[in-house]
Amino acid sequence: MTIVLTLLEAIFILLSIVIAAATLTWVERRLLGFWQDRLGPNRVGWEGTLQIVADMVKIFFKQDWTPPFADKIIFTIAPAIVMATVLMGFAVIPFTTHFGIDLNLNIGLLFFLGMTSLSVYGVVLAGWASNSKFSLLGGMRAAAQMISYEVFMGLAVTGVVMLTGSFNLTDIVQAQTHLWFVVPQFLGFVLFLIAGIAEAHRLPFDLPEGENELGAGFHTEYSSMKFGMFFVGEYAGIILISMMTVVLYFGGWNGPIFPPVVWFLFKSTGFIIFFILLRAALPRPRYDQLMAYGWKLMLPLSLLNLAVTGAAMLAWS
Amino acid sequence: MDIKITIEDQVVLVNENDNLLAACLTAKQDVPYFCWHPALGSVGSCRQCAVKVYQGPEDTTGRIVMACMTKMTPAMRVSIADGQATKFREAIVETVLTNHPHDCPVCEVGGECHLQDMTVMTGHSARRYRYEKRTHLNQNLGPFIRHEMNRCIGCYRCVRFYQDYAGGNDFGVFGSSRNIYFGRDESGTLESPFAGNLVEVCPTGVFVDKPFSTKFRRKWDMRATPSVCPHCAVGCNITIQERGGQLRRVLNRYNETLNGYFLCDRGRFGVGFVESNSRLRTSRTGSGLALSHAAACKDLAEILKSDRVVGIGSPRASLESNYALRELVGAENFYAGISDFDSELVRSAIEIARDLGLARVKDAEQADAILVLGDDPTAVAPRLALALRQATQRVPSAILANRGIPTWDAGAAKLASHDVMNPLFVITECPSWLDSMATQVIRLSALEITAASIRISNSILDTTEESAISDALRKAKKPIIVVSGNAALLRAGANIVVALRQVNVHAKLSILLPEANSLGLGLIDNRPLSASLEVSKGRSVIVLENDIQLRSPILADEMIAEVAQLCVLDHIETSTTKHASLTVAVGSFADSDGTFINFEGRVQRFYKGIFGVEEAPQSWVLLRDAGVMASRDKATTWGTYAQLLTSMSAAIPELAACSDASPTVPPTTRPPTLPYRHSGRTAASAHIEVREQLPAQHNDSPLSTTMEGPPIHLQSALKPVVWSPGWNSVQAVNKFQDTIGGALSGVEERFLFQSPTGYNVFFADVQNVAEDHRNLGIEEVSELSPAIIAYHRSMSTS
Amino acid sequence: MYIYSALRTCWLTFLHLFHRTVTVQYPEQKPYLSPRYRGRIILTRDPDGEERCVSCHLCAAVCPVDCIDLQKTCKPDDWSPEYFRINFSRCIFCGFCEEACPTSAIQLIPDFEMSEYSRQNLVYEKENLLISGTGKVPDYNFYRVSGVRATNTNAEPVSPHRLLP
Repeated sequence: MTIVLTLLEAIFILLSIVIAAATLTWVERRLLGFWQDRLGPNRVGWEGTLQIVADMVKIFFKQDWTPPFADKIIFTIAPAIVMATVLMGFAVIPFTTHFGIDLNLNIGLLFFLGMTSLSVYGVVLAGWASNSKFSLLGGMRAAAQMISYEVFMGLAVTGVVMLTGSFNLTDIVQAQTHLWFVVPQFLGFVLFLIAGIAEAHRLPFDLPEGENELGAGFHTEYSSMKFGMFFVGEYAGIILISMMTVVLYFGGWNGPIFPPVVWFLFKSTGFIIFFILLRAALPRPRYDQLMAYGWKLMLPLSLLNLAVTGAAMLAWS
Repeated sequence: MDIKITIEDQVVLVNENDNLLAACLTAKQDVPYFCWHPALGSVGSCRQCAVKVYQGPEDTTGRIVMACMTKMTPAMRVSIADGQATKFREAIVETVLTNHPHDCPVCEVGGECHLQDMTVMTGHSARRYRYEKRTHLNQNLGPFIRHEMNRCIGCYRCVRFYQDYAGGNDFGVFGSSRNIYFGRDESGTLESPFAGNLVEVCPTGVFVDKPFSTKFRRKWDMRATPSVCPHCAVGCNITIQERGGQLRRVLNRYNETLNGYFLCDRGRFGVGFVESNSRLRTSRTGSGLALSHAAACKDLAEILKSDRVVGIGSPRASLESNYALRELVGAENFYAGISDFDSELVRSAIEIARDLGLARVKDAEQADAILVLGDDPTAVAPRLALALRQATQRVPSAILANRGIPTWDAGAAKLASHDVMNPLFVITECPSWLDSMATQVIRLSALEITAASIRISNSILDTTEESAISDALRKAKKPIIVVSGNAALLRAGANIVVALRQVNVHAKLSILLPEANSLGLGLIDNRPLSASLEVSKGRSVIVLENDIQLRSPILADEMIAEVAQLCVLDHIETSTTKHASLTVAVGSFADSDGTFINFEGRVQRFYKGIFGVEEAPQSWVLLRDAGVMASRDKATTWGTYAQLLTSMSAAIPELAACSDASPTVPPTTRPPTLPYRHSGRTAASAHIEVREQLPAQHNDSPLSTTMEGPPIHLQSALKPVVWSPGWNSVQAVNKFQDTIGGALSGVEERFLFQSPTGYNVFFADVQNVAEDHRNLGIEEVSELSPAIIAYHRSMSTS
Repeated sequence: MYIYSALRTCWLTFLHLFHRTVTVQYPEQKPYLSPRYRGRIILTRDPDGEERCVSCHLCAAVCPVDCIDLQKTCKPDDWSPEYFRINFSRCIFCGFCEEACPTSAIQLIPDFEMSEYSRQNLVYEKENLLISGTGKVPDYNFYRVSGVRATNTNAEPVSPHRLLP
């Protein structure tokens, strides 16, 4: 019975995430519109709310074209890998004390890190299987970027783990009842956020796509719903990173008056909008600059963060 | 003699006998001018070519002189850009323009106007004259020229050309002071056969090409292709300009040794036949059923397959077409298709040419004694007649040398001459235009002219005999004998040259021939129509661009009655096409590539200049395709034009010079015939199909049909249009001559009969039996031109 | 410094949320087009109602995409165009033709609503271009300002039989 319930809960959560990710495409366009003094898509439905329906209809009915030169099997699997790994990441998110797919996984944080790392396979394989130079370059960039930023993302969250003493995300949220970790772990938060942006390959770190030099990067050759899966996967990734930030640093569901789930979604939405704001505001760095930030700035900083946290904990105790 | 002067701080070597303006232009400097013209000389009336001259290194003041009236002295320094001189020139243009109507948008000359060019060159840009302008009455000058006197800037070029150069007397200058008027006493068709040159002589738009005005386009919009005038045996170089598959106009194409700057009116306005109602556009069967070009070609192939086909060539078709037909029907079945009279004439002309060589138009222009025998050159070879006039008008250099007058000083030379001119003797049957300038005119019947010629040649050798003509010829250094008419007269004329050469006078002989390619056809085959009568009985006859009815109605009727099938290839409706069982439309000279050999033995190539939709194929292409269909091996070897030429020079070695009559250009660097500003390209055919069409494909000429390629005005030999920055009018030719009035840079020409053999042998006089029924000088094709028809009508009513 | 500028950029961009949008809701709301707006091309008439175009070919010559083709009539003294064709599927509305026109015949007007489903319908002939008014230049008549017809009509014209200086 519990299995069925958990299954239903999982289906509900994942479906909501997918729909939210799709809605996000419209939200992003409208927000970008407002930030650029435009209106954005406002024609379909009330204020354009049904835009995603139109987009869905369009993307489903587009010709699903696999290039004859592509490696067909991998070419087909790649978007599924991206989508699947991102959705798997949601398995460990504690929406509230009771709501979530697996609330008590003791390696929750590691599972999340593992899933985000796995999603790079999707991108790299897509780039490889497309058999086109732009795609391949995009895939290579994604791999290098993911590995670099993965390193200090793990190191950054280690601060939180040290403070909590647990990898279990529910424990981490509960540890923040009085003080959100963003205060003691401010540097860790900044590093995690930056790494998160890079992991989700969002602007300004969307070099794997880099449309001004690589066409559309790793998904240049993709069309129709295969492309749609990359697309939705990217937005699901934004949601995942936002929720993870809330869980790790902003106290998860903790908050006064309103029910916990509202607090959780409210905080997450704030980060999602911040992600979109970054796209509206910041230019893309050069690729060598991106790598330099990662290895020469972020990694030492995260190590420093760890050392200081450790030292402070020692001094405190 | 060459001297060194300094122009704009550059030391240049100039010809002392030139004027300063010509020297500056030779040095490729831009000096504005109006009244000066390289062929008309200097009069210094427009004051436009002011430059500052310093007489030597110590002269720092300098003075403004009119360059066209200035002799050059060694160590002279010239400044064109000098401030005072520049200001002077600008002021002159401003004055000239006070009464000019500024109607360039509605002027046919706009865009290729010497006045526009010169105004821009002087820098004058803002008009200060705000008062009322002088107006003029315009006259109706006939169907060739439109008169718009308000545009006149009073440079006197028109009257100097019309009266002094071309010897016309029905056009002149009237009035005085500000009220001068260039025109006729009263409205009426201009009588001079060279009146059309006023269009190019006038620096602005006073004289406008009237037929062109009805299908007007700006210069930069028309495809320009070098061509050769098909209307007489002189073969003047022309440029045909086309737009949208329609022939718009003909311009003179400068050729120093042939037509120079001028054309005759038949050449300029006779091409109207290409667009006239008489043009044959579609092929048809004898019953009048229209055939597509492909179907006609197939029918022609069927005829070629039959046992023995007789081919009739034509002196108005190109060498290539004639040769292609000759090869397809076999040399023994190919006949020139000319009258017995012409056949005899051409035969003896070739015989004489091989022995004595042929004079060129340039020789005629520089001759110091002229004897005209037989027909009137003005009718048969108008451009040669104009050259002969220049020879008579040229003031003997001794007179000029005595008085220190330079040759370019037209006014002074004319005054100094006291009408002492080079002698011209005219012995013709009918009154001739040259009569008015002749020293002596003798009017005799054709037979008597032969006898008179024999007497002249005898009296040249026998000094005891009293004869003004032979005396003058003997005294001359380079006399020319212009002979036309029958074969006997040709030989008699040749004998005069032989006699003169025996007394060490290097005389030249010019033989006038009836049609554009008479000489070329004569070298391929010279058997007349009458010879083909017997063999053609019961057989198929292919007539190539020839109206056999016009040549001999009796013979033609007889032939048409007896032949099994008569197939006529032509580009115009003729009386022969009416009787044909298969009439095949082919391209005219303007739609074809080909070669003509003119009366000087000059091999000249013309190029396809009109690219229309569904146009008829060229004769030789049609014959080749039909030949391939009829599985003739020979025809399959003529894949390209060059291959046809190779085949022709192998078959007829005498025509080997034809193979390299045009420059060989690799396909990628072919110069474009479309000008660089060929406007409206995406709209011209958009009403039919909005998608743009491919450019015309034509690989047989050294010219590209598109706009792409190195600019054509930079090409050395093929220059249909002359253009140079700042020089949009025809005067731009200055920029491409090595010396002003000299040959275009890089031009190579091919001549036949280059090494004459005999010098001392008299030609045996032959009794000429055949009679000429045609009126020489009335060329059949140009007579179909609407402008020429209108001209005849206006001349007969006035 | 870099972080400060990045954050400041984000903040300034965020503030645009409260700015007025510049988008004009086109089909319902028409944008303001200045009289000098370079839209559809027309041919105008002079104040006397005659066609202004004198077939000088300057518009065709200046057109950078060569989308104008015209032909003067076959009558020597009539300079109005026999056909005047603009291929709007090529036109880039640069307005050079209007600047080049010596008679103010060709003018660009504030109208851009000329889409078609077929490219062929974008080829405008003279009857599609010619309007009955004077367009933006109400008083100009080329022949009164310039040209042989504009010259002095009071003075006696010079003729070959007039002997006065």
